[in-house]
Amino acid sequence: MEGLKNTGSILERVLSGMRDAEARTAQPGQTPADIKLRVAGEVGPFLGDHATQTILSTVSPGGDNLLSSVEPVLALFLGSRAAARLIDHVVERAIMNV
Amino acid sequence: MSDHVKPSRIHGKTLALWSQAALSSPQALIFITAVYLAGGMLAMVAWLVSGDTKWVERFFRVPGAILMIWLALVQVLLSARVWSNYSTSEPMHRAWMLISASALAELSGTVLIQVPGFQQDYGLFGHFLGGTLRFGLLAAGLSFALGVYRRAGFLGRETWWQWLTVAAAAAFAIAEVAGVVKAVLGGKRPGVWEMLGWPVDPLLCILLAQAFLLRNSVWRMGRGWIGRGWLALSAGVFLILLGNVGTLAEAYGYLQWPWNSVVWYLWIPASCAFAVAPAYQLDAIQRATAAAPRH
Repeated sequence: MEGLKNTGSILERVLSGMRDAEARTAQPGQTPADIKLRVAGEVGPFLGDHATQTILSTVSPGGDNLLSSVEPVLALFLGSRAAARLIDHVVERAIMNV
Repeated sequence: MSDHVKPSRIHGKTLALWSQAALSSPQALIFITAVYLAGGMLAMVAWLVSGDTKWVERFFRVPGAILMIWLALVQVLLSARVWSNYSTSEPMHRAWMLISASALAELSGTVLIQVPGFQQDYGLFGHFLGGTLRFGLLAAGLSFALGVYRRAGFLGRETWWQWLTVAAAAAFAIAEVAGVVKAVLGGKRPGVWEMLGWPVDPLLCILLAQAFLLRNSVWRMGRGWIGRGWLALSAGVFLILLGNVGTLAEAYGYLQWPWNSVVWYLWIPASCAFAVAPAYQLDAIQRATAAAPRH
């Protein structure tokens, strides 16, 4: 009975998180286009404007491959360690909008 | 006793960190070089006014030599720091390993040529280190860097006037080779150090083509922080080539003493450009690392 109650509360937390994520996406400033713009603002100074626009133009409308498009290019020039830390920052500032 | 020791330790550590930060800052390197160049210009003015060439000679013999050695040392240290940032599997690891080795060859060559105690016995070896070896390693390093730009999809293309410039440089290098072959066939027996200096002109042609490609690739990406170091390296190569043209003009009698000393001034901004290149690269890496979220 305790196990069933725990499973129920975990499920409730997961469903609540999914509803929160959907609600955030629906808010102004959290559309894929807004996120792409913010990502461009974070990585543009490193790569250069033209390179940033070129890379982001290959990103799908839903933004599914956003980070996987940007990080490899950053890693080529900055090294994977520095690129990973920059991407962490991009996720927090541009995507999560913290 | 411990209270007396602690403040000086803190000040010493602060000073070390400050000086480390200042000396790895591209702006600090450019500023210091500009101050030296201003001093060099004053020496030239003093020569023109007084008619005494010793002003310029004295500037290059000590202050100029110290600056060149210091810039070469900074280039080695900063290039090595950039190199250590990449893992061995990353393509930029090889690029910066070769650029660091090139910087070390330049430092060694500069010391052997500039320091009076070494000049007489090791000057020719110094010219080999700072010439053929340095340029060969640099060309190899830049080829890996251009490979990264190609892999990223942003390799630039040379314009028609750049092709023309490279072709002119190549034609000159071929003419030099032909002259050497003719001299050897005519009975000349060149020494070992002379032969080891032969690859310099062809290597400079390769570096010229690479510098144009690097510059164009940076412009193609849009000149971000990543590109500044490569732009500085390109500028260093262009300045070396300009200095080489001056040296050739002197060798062929078009530029005579004391006016050929004007060419010496080109080596100063060239050395600065090579020191500033890894400083800019480090700056980009440190900005990326510092941007990490604080937890």
